[in-house]
Amino acid sequence: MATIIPWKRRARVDEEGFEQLLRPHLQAMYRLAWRLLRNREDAEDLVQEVVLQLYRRREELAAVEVLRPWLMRVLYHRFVDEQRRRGRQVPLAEPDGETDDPLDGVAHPDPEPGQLLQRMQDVSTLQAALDGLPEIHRQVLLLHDVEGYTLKEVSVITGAPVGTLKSRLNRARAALKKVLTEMEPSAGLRRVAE
Amino acid sequence: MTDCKTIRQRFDDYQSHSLSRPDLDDLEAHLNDCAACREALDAHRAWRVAMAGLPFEPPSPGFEERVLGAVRREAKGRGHRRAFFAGVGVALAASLAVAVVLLRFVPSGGDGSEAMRVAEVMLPEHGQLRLRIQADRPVQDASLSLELPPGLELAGYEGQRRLQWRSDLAAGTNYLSLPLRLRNPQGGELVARVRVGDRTRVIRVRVRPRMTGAELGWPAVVV
Repeated sequence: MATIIPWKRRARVDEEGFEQLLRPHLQAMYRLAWRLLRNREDAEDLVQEVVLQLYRRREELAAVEVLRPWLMRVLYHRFVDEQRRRGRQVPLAEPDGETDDPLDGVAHPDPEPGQLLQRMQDVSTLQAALDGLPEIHRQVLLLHDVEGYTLKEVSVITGAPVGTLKSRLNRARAALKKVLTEMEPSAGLRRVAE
Repeated sequence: MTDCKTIRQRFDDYQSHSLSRPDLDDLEAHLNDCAACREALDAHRAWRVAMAGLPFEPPSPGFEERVLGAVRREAKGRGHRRAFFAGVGVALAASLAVAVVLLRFVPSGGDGSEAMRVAEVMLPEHGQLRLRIQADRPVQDASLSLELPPGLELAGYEGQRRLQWRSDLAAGTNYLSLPLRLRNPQGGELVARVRVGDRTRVIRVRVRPRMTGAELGWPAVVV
């Protein structure tokens, strides 16, 4: 991933300065890594690799105005690279047929709200439903609805245009609602720590 | 009045306070008059709360310190390298040299990559080289191999150019001590490989003869 930074904005960041910049974001980096990988050791390894990679490019950090989405972008791309190297498809680009129409997916009828909410309150069911979605839908939901990044930030992180993400998000929500309404209550098989 | 679809499409921006003033006024006016959209907004909020409340497995104790500790080790290594090159040989004089291989092991399988580092040390005719191997977690059955050039021998294994060990690695720092014998004035370059699964770390150590004394020091190098 290339980052172009004007030369005059480069600043020297020593080891201590680097730690001060990074430390407030480490937990959030881990959290996103865990959401993507669903495994603590792998998530910790991913963060470790990204932080070492960032240390070698630390001058760039001082020039970044809003650090967190930029850090998440580096982490996300590292995750995608690693998954691809292992032969897994992680679609950064939208698949064929995906449009930028933000109203896509809105037409999906909402299931009965009370039933849906009940299913969502069962975290293992919700997690299992989320895990069952196509990766492109799972990721946009993780970034936007679970981790709370705005669409602009998700655009920075993934490199996809905001319009495309809006459309993708609507489709992903509709897909998740559909899965949830079709699932038996407490159908989640994997438990995660509270 | 703006239609319900458009209004509902703005709920995310409304919740993140990123609607423009005219759109905000428009949305609030619509909500005042539309019970269905008020209900949809409540459902939207409940959705976001449920999604944001999904638990995650916290990192292991000491996670932040481990991550930043790796950065400190990296920084220290680079500092040593700078000192080495600035020292123009004087700093190299020592009988005990330490070359460092930093390793990261991914337990779920490697990528077949072979990362290489280069170090340079000066040793007397009978000197000891220590390889420092950093492992983030215990590693079972690591393979350690050594290739020696002509003129450089491992004490007790004279005449052997290739040697191999298998060993477990503890989490943290592991040392492999190599008592070396320099048999020619040019020294030579040895190659050490540490292999775990299909992941390999390689360090090439250029060993040059030191002519006098037997001082102890830390002349070596992480590259």
